[in-house]
Amino acid sequence: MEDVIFFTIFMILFAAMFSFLGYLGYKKTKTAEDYFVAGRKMGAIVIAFSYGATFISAVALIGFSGISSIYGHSILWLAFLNVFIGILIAFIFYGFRTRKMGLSLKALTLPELLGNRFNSTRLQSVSGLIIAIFMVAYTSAVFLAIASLFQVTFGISYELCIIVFTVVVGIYITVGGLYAVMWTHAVQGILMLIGMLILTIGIYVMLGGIGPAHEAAAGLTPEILESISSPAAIQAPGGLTSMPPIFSQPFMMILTLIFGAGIGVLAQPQLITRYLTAKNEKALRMAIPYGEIFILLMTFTAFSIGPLCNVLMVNNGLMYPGTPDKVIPLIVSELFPQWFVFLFLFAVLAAAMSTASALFHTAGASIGRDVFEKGVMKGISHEKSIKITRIATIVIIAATLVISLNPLDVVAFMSAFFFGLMANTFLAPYTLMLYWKKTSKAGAWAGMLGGFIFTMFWYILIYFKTAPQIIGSSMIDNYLINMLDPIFIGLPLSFILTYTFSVLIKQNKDEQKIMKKSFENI
Amino acid sequence: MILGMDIWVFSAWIGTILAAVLCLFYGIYQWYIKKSDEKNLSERKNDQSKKKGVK
Repeated sequence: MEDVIFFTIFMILFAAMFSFLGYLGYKKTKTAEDYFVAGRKMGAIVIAFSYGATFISAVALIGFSGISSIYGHSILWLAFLNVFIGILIAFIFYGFRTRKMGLSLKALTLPELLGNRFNSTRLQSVSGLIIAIFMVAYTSAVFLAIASLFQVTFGISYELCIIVFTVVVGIYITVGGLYAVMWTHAVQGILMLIGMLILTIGIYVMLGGIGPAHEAAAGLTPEILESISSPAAIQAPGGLTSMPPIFSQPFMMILTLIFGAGIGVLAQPQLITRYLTAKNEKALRMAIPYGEIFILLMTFTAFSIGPLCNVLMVNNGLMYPGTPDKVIPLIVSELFPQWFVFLFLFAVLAAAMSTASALFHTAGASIGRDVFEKGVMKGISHEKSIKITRIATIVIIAATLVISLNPLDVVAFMSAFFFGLMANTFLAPYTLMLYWKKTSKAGAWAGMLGGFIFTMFWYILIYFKTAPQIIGSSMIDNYLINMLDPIFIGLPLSFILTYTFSVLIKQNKDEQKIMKKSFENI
Repeated sequence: MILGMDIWVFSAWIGTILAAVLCLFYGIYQWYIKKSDEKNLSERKNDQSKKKGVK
């Protein structure tokens, strides 16, 4: 009962604070630019926290820590890619140019950037539709995970959790636009940082520091791991602090995880929006160190402590919980004081809310601005533009709520597709658009649709995680192929298609004129 | 084994920290060195415009 009272009080505080920020955002939102890209007035710290909080969801904190408890510290390569590619490469090679091109072309979303660069509203609408459909599924998966966690911890009904979370996030996004989203991200990011820092320091202190902790993990033999029913007994054959043998199944799993999520980050529409919000280039440049500290303290810590949970379970006579998602909640609830259990749960809730709010906003913008305003109702006023996007955002939130309350298998598959699908669909045309002046409309269409169709085909027919659940079994029995993330084939294919079609069907005069305009500040 | 990790895992571990340090240096470079470069540049521009004014 005390738990429920605490949950209620904290949730009311959360809702009040975020609603207040939503109100401030509402007061500041006068134009479409305000609503979609926070008036292009954001400074380095807010951009960095918003980028990080959008990037790191509850899935990354709880899910990936759990996965690292199975596959060991080799998953730290993903932390390396998250910092090196997710921040450094992303901001330096994509962020600066995206912002400049966005300004030249007056684009407020990724689909609009593509549409304006290639002089095609259809390209914009189709991109927006793809983003919105898959984003709804992804957002419902984020809420589903966090509601299940709260249901287990506080004993509150799953349906009530889903309704409360969706309504709280829905109110401040719809009212306050991207201002509210980014300001709340700063608050949520601080909570996430505190939660992860205390958790990591606590675990390393319990195990006697970095060296002794890792040595203890290395000393866990398959027999010891088996005694606590840890899947690491099989999945980490060389030990928890060693890379698995090359081309073994665990190796392929790690390869897929690392590259799927590590490179896929470059083409996530909700992250690209953050570049467009910068008040100047300096803000983006200074966001790099702040963002890196945030990502480092989130992923490096999460992936480091996962394998150590096995040591803690052995030392404290705990059994490995059924699924990896339950590893961190188990360690927190069994070995940490009650006040931290609450703090950590709300840190995870903050991670889920921050990602969900960014997804709602991007999906709402995709339907409102990219599909309706530019595709269906051309030439409407700025006031109407915001109104339409607000209505679209409410529809997206309602759809997410309905889907989350009645979770279907297809939604789980679609959310699993999200990262790879966005990368294979958009990364090639987006990269070449920024760097190769000869990229044509035909090339962009070919790269985008080619990447999209290939990825859907791979996930439905071949990929080891999704194909067995959709068609019964993978069409290719060899794990070296069916465990490959579609990014390994889909991304090069999309680049080849964009390049080839740009060479075969060259830009027309209108496209050339726009191309010159888009590069004038670069 | 280094700090209880094999060479590949240790490479990922130290690589992440080095990538983070690189980002920090980038930030420091942007904040201090580029700032002083920009300051010098604007001072030089001011000097040149003053000289032009004298002529």
